[in-house]
Amino acid sequence: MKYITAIIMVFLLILSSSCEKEFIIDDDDFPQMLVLNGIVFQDSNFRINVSKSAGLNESYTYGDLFVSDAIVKLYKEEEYIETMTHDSIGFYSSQNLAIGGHNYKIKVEKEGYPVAVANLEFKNINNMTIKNVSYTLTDSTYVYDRPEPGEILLYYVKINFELDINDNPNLKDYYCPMVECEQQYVSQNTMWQDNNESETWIELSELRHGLINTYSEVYSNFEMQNQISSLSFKGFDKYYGGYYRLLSDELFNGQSITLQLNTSFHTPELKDISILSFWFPGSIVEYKESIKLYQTVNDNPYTEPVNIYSNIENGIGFVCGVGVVKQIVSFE
Amino acid sequence: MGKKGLVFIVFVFTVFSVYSQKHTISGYVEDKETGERLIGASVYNELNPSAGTSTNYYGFFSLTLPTGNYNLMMTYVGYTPQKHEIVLQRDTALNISLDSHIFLDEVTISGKRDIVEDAQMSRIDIPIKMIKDLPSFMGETDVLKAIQLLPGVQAGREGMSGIYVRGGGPDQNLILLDGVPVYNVNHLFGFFSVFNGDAISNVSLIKGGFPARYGGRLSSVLDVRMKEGNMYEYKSDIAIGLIASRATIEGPIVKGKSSFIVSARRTYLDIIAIPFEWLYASLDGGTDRFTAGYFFHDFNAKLNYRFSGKDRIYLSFYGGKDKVYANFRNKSMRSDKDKFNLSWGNFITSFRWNHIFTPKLFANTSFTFTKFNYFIGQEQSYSSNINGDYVSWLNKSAYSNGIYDLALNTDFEWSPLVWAKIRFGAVGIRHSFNPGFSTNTNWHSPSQTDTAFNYTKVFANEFAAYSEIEIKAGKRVNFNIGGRFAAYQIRDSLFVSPEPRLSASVLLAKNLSFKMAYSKMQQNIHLLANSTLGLPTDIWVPATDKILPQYSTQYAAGFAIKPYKNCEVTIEGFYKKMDNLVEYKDGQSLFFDFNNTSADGVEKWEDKVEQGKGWAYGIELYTNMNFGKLSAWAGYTLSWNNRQFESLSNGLVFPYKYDRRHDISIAATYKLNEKIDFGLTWVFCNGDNISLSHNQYLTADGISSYVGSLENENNPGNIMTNYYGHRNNYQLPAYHRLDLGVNLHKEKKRGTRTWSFSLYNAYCRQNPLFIDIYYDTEAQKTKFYQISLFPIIPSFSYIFKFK
Repeated sequence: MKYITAIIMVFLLILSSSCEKEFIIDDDDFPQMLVLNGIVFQDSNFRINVSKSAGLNESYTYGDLFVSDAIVKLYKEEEYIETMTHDSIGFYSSQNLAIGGHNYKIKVEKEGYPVAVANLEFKNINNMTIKNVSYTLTDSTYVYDRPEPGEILLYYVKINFELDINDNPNLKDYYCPMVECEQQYVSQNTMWQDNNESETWIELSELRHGLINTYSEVYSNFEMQNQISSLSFKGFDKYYGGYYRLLSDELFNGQSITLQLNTSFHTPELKDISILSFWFPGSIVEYKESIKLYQTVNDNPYTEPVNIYSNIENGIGFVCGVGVVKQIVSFE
Repeated sequence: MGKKGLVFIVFVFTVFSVYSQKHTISGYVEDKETGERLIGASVYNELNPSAGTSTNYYGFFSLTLPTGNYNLMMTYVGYTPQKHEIVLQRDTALNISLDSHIFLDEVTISGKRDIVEDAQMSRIDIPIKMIKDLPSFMGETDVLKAIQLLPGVQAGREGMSGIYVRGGGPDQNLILLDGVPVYNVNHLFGFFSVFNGDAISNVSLIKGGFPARYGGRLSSVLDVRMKEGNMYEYKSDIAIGLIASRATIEGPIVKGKSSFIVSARRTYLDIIAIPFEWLYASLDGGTDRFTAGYFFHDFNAKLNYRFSGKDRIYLSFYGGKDKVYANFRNKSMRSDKDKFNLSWGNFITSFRWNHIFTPKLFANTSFTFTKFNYFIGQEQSYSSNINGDYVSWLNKSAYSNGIYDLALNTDFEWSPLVWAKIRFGAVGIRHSFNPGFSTNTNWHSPSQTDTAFNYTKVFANEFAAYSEIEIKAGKRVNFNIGGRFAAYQIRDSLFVSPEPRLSASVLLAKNLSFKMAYSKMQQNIHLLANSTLGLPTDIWVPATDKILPQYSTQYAAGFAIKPYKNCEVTIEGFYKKMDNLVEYKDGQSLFFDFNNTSADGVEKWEDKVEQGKGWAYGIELYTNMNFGKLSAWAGYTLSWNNRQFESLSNGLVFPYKYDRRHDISIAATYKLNEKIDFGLTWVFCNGDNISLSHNQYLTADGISSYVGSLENENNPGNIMTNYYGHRNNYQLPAYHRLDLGVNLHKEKKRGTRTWSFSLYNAYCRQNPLFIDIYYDTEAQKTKFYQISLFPIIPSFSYIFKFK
């Protein structure tokens, strides 16, 4: 009888054994990689961030991940031109400017890691023209609670301009017009065209810190943007949220067309205004789409996992070149 | 008429003159005791076994021989062979009853047909008796779990009934119940199949070298036939298991002319739970009453009637349903309720008519209907006091999905010559898809809104015609050559597919043959699977002009050897190329997507999936044997299975989730005596491939947050991003498991009693089902936990067969 009791006890012990146990994955199966990130604007210095991926079994703080001792070499049309220098928390800058119409390559070497390579193409952006700029200026009084409560005299500025783009139908790319002023409290808004279709916005907030330092921030009037969002344009087929509009090149379909745009804003001080038109490669949209998708479904067990778009050879991350044309409007 | 025409007529006349000097023996082979027709029984001339044939799925045979005297042998595995002396001077009808008593204990897995001589390759028949004798999971005999033990067939995740044949997906199997496709074969989320072993008479699996009469799927044909019912006496049996019980009754309606069989099965987890729910509610004393449960049931029925020696009709029926439910109710406010329902099920019915036009020409015509649908519903109702008035609120949402097929098909078998058998036929199918139907109702007094969207049924028509000829060219060469022409129409699109088929065998020695096969297949429906769990929420969708039909081309070659009388060995190599396979895009799922239509009315599922290609190749070794009390089979598969999709994994080739390099399975039964028999199965295979984040990193967004946090002295939160590389990038540890079973039989006054005891996972191997990942904030590192599903699971069932 005692044997039977023992057998039953052993059996019950096995039956109650946990179905969960810690699972060890060998890091050697998955070597770590270099991570390159950067959006480089034409006619600006190259500036990218270099970090490293964290292995599955690694303990780390975020600061540990930034790489300050990498060798970052810049190539133009496959010819070495300089080694970029580290300035802060993984950011490396060049002396050379990014010139439109050229292809660049950034090779990042660090001992123990495969050499990571980023390829950048700067489109020749003479296909974008800003023309027929006009403005009206009105003094107005606007109640604003900054820098201190009270009434501040603001100028009400309305700008009209035309953007002419001759798009290359063989490339999937995007355009983004905007108005910029060095002062704060600038709102830029309002574009229109006869066709009523869907529209596109893009959030470029991640470009502010370190990755781009060429332009100051642009502020918008959110209420007005809501009104504008009811307007729509053919080819504005992506929505990202935020303050910037991204025009798909489907809008142009390989043809040169002219967009009429205007913007209005209040400003306490009259300084020069910049009208900009950016050119983005299609990869930036893939990157933004994948970020959005990743955040949406990251913990959903019913979906296949999402890899954020990467265009780095032997590494991870996203680096691309962005073109821009700029026209200064001076108030007389 | 030209000279060529005249020559042709003379040739035909000559052929038929010779042919007219031959006569045909035709009839049925059946079980002597029950009258059940025997499928695949051999009928041949004793002196020249190559002059023979086998019975079809209706037990009919037709054998044409020259005028003369013959000793005709009729054999069927597990039955006493019979010899009939025939003086053949005219067409002769011959119905044969074989006695099963003497050789009842000898079971050969695929021995109905001689595998060495048969042109068909990659086909395995499993006697239902052996399936029943194998160890069962939770006391439930499962046809599909036995099929998973065959080489070239992969099981999905632990405990699941799904099958993956030669690198294909679970949707690529044409699973037929009495000739009617079954779209969802899962009960209890895949732990059991819909096939009730008590109602099944025959199971055969074809993995390659598909005859032209089969089509519509890429990877396999699993043909399951229901019993017909005892023609001579009433029989019944009951089985009581741990989670389900079943009962079967069969017998004659008109003795020797008509019979029926009815079999039903139901689980009772929900009934067992009721007292516990009451107990909990009484002890809890709270304001809420909670009830929840799960059950499945299925019901098989079949009846047949022999009008004459030439005509017979069958009516088959299957209905099954699973239901999960949970209800909350507020005790004090009885109007406050919350209900959840998930239910799914198949409904299948078929009407078949067998007719013998001539002793050489047999026809079967079927009219069939099959339906699978599922429903998810939630209902919430409550009352609230607004300014002294009670207002009732009701929120309802529901989601349903289904596929309905109506089909008419006719098949002919013509045996004009002793060396040739011709099959031809056609099938027309009307598909009706409902890939996602949602309703939302929000009601409160006095206003009401009711919304239904995506109620857009999609219809598709499928037509196929086929012809195949089975030829015995001399004593050494057999081949089956045929073709299938399939056309599929949906909306304004038409897809046509010529599908050539060929299989051949060459007898190299008395017990050794070489075989080869080629087949091209088209599949017009896709299964959008959210996971591998066999969830009912997997959705069948039609191929469209945007999501094209799937295609496959398979080549197979191998050897069949019979080293001993009761031992068969096959070695087969295969290469299968698949096009237009469907996978969800990264991050996509239709699960609980209540907004799956776009503004222009096009089904959004088409935008959520990606089409690509796949290929699988490997070698399969299979042996089965029967040495008196021991019956066993063993299989080994060495295979590779890859996928490539343009927009997945950067267009790189990645392994299929069940790309298991090695797969071994052993199944055996041992009959100690009339009272005790044992069963054993053991499986080993490489682990599943999963998509595992193996690195984490900072994106540009993450870096911006971090830099911003430094500037503003904020906590950036978790800004790390997982990196997966390519899909299915990590292989889990190997899977292996031993199941043991014993059946104790005892003759009782009123019948036979059987106690069945089983041990699932007898040595309690912790096989990984999935990996759970979380970030340990204290250790500041990612930790992984392996989740296993089943430790050792004992079970038993009680079966009583009434005399």
